[in-house]
Amino acid sequence: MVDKISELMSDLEEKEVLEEVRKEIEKGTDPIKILDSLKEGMLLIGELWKKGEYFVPEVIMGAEISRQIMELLKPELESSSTKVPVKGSIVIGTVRGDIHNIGKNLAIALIQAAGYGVVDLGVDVPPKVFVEKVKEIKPDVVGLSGLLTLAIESMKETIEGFKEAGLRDQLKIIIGGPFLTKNYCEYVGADAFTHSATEGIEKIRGWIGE
Amino acid sequence: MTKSPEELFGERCQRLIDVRNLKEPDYTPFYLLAEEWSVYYHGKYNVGEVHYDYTKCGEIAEHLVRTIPQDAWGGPQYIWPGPVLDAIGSNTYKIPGRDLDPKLQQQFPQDKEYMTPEEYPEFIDDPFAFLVEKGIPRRHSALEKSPRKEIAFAKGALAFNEWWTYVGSLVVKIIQEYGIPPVVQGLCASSPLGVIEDHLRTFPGICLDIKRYPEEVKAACDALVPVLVKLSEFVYEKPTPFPYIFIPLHIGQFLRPKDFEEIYWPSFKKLAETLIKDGYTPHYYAEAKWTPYIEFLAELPKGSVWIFEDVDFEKVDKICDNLCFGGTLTTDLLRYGTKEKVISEAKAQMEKFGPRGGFVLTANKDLMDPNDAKYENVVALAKFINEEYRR
Repeated sequence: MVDKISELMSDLEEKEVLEEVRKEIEKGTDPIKILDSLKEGMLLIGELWKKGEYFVPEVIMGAEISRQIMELLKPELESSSTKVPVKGSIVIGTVRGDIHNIGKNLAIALIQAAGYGVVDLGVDVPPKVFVEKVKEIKPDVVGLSGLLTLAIESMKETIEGFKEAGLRDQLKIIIGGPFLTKNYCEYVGADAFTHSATEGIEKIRGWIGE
Repeated sequence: MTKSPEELFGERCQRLIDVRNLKEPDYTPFYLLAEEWSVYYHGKYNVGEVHYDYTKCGEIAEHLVRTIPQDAWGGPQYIWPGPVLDAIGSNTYKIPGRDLDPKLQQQFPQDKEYMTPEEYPEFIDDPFAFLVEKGIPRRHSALEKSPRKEIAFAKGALAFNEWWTYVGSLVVKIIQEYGIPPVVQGLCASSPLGVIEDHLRTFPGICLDIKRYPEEVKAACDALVPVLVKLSEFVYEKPTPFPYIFIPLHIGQFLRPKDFEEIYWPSFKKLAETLIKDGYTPHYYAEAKWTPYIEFLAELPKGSVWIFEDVDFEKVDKICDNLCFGGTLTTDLLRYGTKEKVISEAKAQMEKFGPRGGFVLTANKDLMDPNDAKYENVVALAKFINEEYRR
């Protein structure tokens, strides 16, 4: 569904889209419906990124607009009787030793827009924290992020941690980072690797379904 | 007959000047910017120890150039000396042993903004004053208030002077004993937009600014050019075509070409033109994907060196007859290829691009982690180049 909010959002018209959201809230529009438009807008941004029309700054802007809309919607969603449907869950974090979060945060914005539930463990996440969280919430997918090549060994240790805990077979694991190649992916033992969040989303869709 | 370090030094410098001038050298120059990787390769110390006791760099550097002879070495660029950063209360660099696991590499997470978007007009009006009075003190807790500021500054300057004297003596030692020059003579901050990103606004911050206040961002970049030129002249004094000036790039290549052209490129080009005209050689480290911007690079005057992480080299070769490039040895190859494969690819690359003049054989990244290159592959490659290929 492409409506005014999703269209303004994908055009990155920050002020206009926030104004429109305020109007809809005042009119009493179902916040879930507004949320759907917001997600649709973010997905359109992801599509434009994939097509090469948008680059990273546009996606960061999109994520920033989403954040502001979510702030406006939060009280509405809290008082709403309907629950936001979630299609599956993903645990994501930047692996131990690496303290960068930009790539991870972009991925989260797009994964949420695609309707999946995300648990963000932050940066410099030790393998045992990943293992504990996976035991607790049993996600469908784990996303391991890293900017520097020092993340490679941590990704490998984290995945070994899942194996030792007997969790590996129930999980799909995707790793994201600019330096990754097929060889590094095989070395750490992940199911897939990606340089871009839009590509990552497609892998996740393939695993969890629409 | 073995050549003296002096002869080797002369030949190596000539090679690196030739490629800068796009003249085919006797042999394609080969060097790696082996940063923390050289510490792991040496194997005796962790990176954190070396940040605080940087006199260990000497041993590490000698081990590197003795076992992997190259036409130039990267210098101890990977060290952000702990004593200097501590003296001025640096809050932005994360150092192993202080803020991070000592076995890890230093990091620069850009997790805090040091200028608000509302301050662009003030910055544009006088970027140097803004940096000195606001930007730098905000990033260094000890430089915020008098009288602590003056004392911290003096301590920092002394510590820096000790460090720089040490680096100077190490560079001389490697020249005298091994005949190997440093690739670069120091660091020029970055592109104008990169400086604002790195030091004041962060990556996400500058991305939002470009969307919200494009004119201010562009004006800030333009205003910064003379400051960066002055800084280079101050740091390097006498211009020389070699060693080069190291300029890492990490923002332009993330912009869509329209924003690259309108916001990033004018000040970038102005700075490059000025440095080259003055007689310096900018040595750009162009991380991430550069293929969408190759046409812009063709506009630069002759006299810069570009190391690309990810680019269509054929296209660069075809379009940019104005610049020297490198980066064809991927870390994937160096890490996962066999010795034979690394050698055969390197040889093919030298044969293909060597005759154009402006080509250096080097990796597509600064080597930091052991996973960036297998030690034995690099040793074998250097041995092949020195003992077989150049015979």
